[in-house]
Amino acid sequence: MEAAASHDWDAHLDHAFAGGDERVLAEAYRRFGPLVYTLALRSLGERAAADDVTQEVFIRAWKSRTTFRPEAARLPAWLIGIARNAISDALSARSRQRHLEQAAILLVAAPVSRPDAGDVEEVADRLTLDEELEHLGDPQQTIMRLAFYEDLTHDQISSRLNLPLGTVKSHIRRSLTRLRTRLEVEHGTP
Amino acid sequence: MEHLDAELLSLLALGESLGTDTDADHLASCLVCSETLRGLQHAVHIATLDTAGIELEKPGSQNWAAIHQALGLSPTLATDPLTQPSAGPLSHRRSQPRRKRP
Ligand SMILES: [Zn+2]
Repeated sequence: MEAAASHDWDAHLDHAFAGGDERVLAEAYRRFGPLVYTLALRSLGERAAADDVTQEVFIRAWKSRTTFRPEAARLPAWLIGIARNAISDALSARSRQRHLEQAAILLVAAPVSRPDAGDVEEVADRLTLDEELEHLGDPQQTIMRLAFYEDLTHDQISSRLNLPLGTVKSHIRRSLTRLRTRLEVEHGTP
Repeated sequence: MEHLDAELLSLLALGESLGTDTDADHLASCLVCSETLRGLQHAVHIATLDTAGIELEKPGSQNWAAIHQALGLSPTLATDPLTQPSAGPLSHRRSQPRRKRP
């Protein structure tokens, strides 16, 4: 099945989730369960382990729904954050296990990558950046959407929004740097 | 050695053709600037990623069953959501993706 984008995941679903609407949990599972499962499968390499992580993520998400703040976060990106934590927990549990068993091959910190692991990671990252874009506020968000999705140059954006060139350039620089930083933080690299 | 302007690097990452030959020479020989540009290009790549063609694997139905049971969810939600093309009670409230007119 194909990857789900977050652009048609409405903010009202975030609020309903935080408010305890179980149907939204089911809908979130329908939309993002395959992404969580595939991410886990690519990192852990075993279906049983991916099953455990998938269950863990949605159970954890529902139990901690009162800590989810829809005004500050989007559910798809929040779920991805929980999934990354659960996968990393599973990897370190496994590496402890290996250590105990004195396995000949020690697992390194990096997950076992499959050839197609990149694609799935990127889908997850896209959801994270969708949230970060919404955090930019305006006019930054409008500027970045014009640059990203309408392929306008900074000149064209400046004319379209009637903003000085220097302002547009400086918004682009700061916004893009922020998106880059968010990706680095998400993956634990400085 | 002076590095390239951060605004120039951002616009380059967005694919604009800008800068002088001197800038291009600097970029080719400077690790700091090329690393910054690579990071910004990656952010652009992710933000504009078309996720439609990327195939995912479906978790088996035992997963939803386990979640449903662990959380004691309503019996009306017992069916694996992934076996349903669209959730009934919510689908009409979800807005359709915007389509650009040709
Ligand atoms: Zn430089």
